[in-house]
Amino acid sequence: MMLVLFSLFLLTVFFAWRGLRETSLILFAFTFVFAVVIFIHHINTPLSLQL
Amino acid sequence: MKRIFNIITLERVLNLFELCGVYLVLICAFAFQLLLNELPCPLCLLQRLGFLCIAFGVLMNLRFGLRPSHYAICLLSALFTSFVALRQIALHVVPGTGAYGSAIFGMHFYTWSFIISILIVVATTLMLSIDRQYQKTKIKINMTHTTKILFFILFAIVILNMISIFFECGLGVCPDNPTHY
Repeated sequence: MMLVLFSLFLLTVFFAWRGLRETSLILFAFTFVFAVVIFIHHINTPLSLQL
Repeated sequence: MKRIFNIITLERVLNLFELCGVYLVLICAFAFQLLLNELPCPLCLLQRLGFLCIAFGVLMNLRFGLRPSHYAICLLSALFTSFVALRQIALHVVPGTGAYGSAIFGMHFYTWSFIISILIVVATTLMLSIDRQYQKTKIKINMTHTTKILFFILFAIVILNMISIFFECGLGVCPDNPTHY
């Protein structure tokens, strides 16, 4: 999951480096939403499993 | 025209400072991981991604010119990082629950992460509030050597983190309390 997330971010930076602003912004939106989903999933996990 | 140019230069320098600060945080986290064998937990990785996203927003400013949308990326990412850090603080705030990782100057990484991300929110808000930087000028934004170097540093940090994640978590979900690669 994390590997996919970081790969998506790497692709986002790559498009920005190549000068494709809109494409990188769209990819950033996907990356950000994915990160938020992972975070919410983590919040939803019972505390006893995390400590 | 000259005044606008000066403000743009000032803003670009401030962006550069912010970016260097974020790089320092990320490099320190990675150095601690390698030297003290402190493996990052899933929340730590999410905080790292948050800092990387802040760096991305600043780099967009340096690459494509100063725009409110780029500052918005920084703000959203800093808020996300602060929420994740706050979550981790909340996990360890109860007495007897212990802490994750070592402390620097009496505070743990996640506490520093929260403080730094809130400072970034304040700094970015102040930086984006100067209206004159958005006025249209005939200055063409080219990718300077400095921007290229900053992009390569970001690439290096992301790729190193990806290698570390691969050895720690593989292709699946990362363990909540990792102890070995």
